[in-house]
Amino acid sequence: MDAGGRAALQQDLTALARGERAAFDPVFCRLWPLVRGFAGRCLPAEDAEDAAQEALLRIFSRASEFDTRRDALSWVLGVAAWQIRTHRTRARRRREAALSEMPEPADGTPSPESAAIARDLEASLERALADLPPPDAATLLAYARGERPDLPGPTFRKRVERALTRLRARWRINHDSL
Amino acid sequence: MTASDVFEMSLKVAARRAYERGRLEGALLRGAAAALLAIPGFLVCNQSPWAAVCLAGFLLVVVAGRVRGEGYEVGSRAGALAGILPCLLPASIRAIDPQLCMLLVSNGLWICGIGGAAAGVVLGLRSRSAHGLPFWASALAALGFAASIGCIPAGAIGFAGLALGVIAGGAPVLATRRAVV
Repeated sequence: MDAGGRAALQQDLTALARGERAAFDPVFCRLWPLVRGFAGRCLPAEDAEDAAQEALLRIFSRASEFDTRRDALSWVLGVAAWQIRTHRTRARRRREAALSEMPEPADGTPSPESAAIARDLEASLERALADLPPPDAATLLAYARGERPDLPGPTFRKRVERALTRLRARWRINHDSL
Repeated sequence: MTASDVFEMSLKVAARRAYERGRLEGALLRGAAAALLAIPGFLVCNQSPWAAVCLAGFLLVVVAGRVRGEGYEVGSRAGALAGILPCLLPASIRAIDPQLCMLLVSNGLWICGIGGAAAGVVLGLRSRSAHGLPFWASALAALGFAASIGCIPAGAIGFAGLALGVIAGGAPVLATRRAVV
C-alpha cells in the first residue's frame, strides 16, 4: 500500500471508529484486497480465503475500538495476523483430531492421509529451501546427502549450523511451528 | 452480476453486521460502567420510581449515544461524566453520615447547585472536542438524567439549583473559550 492509500485508510478508519457510517464502504473497499492478499501470503490458498473473511469480520467488529492515535494499517494487519494465526491453530487441531481418530493400518503401509502429509511436508521443505540463500541451500542438501564439500570440517559444520538456523526461522514464519 | 460480485456483496453485509454488533457490544459495556457509577446515587437516599426512570433514561442515552457514534457519542460521554458528580453527591453525603440525607432535602438548592456548577465546568471543558446539536442534545440528556437521580429528593428547588449551577459553571468556561478562540 502506498503512502496515499495508507493516509486514506487512516482517515477512513478513524471516521468509522467515531461512528461515521459513510466511511464503511471506503474502508471495506480498501481492506478486503489488503486482508485477502495478506492471508494469501501466510496460508495455503485453500485456507486463505476463509481466514481472510474471518479476519475482515473481526476487523469490522473491532473497528469502533480503534485508537485513532495509532497507525491504522499496523492495527489492521495486527488484528488480521492474530485471526490468521487462530485460524491456522484451529485447522491444525482439526487435522490432529482427525488423525488421532483414524485406525492404524495393519500392514504398516502409510495411510493416504499420512502420505499426503508427508508430501505436504516435503513440498514445504522444498519451498523453505528455495527461500534460503543458494549457498545455505547447497550446504544443507550436501549435508543431507552425506556429501562433504572441499572444506575444513569445523567450517562445514558452522555453515550447516547457520543454514539450519535460517531454515528454522523460515519454517517458523511460514508454518508457525517447528 | 457475477458470482464474485454476489460473494463480495454478502461479505459486505456480514462486515456491516459485524461492525454494528461490535458497536452494540461496546455500548453495552459502557452502559454497564455507567450503571456501576450511577447506581450508588439511586440506592442511597433515593429509591423512588422517578429515580428509577432517570437511571433507565441515563443508561439508554449512554448506550444509544455509543451505538450512534459521532457527536452523539462524544456528547453522551461528556454528559455522563459531568452528571456523575451531582448524581453521586447525595451518596457521598450519606457515606459520611446517614442523617445527612435530610440535609439534602433542606439545603437542596445549594447542594444541587454545587454539583451542577461542577457539571457545567466539566461539560464546558469537554465541549472543546465537539459541538453542534447532536453533542449538546445527548450531553444535556445524559447530564439531566444522571443529575436528576441525585437531585430528586431535593424537589423542584433542587432542580432549580442544578440548572443554575450548570449555567453558572458552564457559561464562564464557554465564554472564556470563545474569547480565546
